[in-house]
Amino acid sequence: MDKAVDLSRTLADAPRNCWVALDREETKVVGSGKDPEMAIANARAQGISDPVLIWSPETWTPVIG
Amino acid sequence: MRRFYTRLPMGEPWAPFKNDQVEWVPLLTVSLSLKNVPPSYSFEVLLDTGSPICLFRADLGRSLGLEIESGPVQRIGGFATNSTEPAYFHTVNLHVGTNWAVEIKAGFVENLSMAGLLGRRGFFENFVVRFDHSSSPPYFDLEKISLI
Repeated sequence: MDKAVDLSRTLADAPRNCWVALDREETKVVGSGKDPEMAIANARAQGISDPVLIWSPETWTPVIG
Repeated sequence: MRRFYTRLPMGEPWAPFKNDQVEWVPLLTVSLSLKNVPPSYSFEVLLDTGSPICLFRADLGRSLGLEIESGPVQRIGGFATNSTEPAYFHTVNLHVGTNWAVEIKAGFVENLSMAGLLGRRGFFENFVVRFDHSSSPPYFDLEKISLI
């Protein structure tokens, strides 16, 4: 990705505590599911064959690694 | 390879940083595979120099066909002193970008609040990463270490 990706609004409104599938440009949610396969299947049903997955937590709180 | 940080939601405003509306996070798109198997789908993970190991959610490992609980187990903890979780370790291939792949020993955890994180063993020992959090947007440069 050669430009900054802004997922702040996209993910703020996305389903929580699940996998979220994004289109390849990571501009919109194209699927979600309790496991990766379900999120991918939902994305493919939307015509997106190679989505990028991200875990959407229950709440967006600071994460200390 | 240069990758800009990703803007993620902050949830409720953080008390000491009430003017901040978003959080910039160093995410990297990767995929995993088992030996001699094509890579899985792509997903976003956190670069975490504070972690001694690479960790992924257990359901990612199961989707590769791993029997998670069959691997060596190590309890791990975060900044909280009274909480640990079992991590089960397996050898997988980590794919970064279109050209780079390294074999790593990664932990798989049930309750991880992100898809995965890349730590020192397996990732930072194989890649040089230069972070610039002062620019807007922040970015990092990533290069695989060549073995001579």
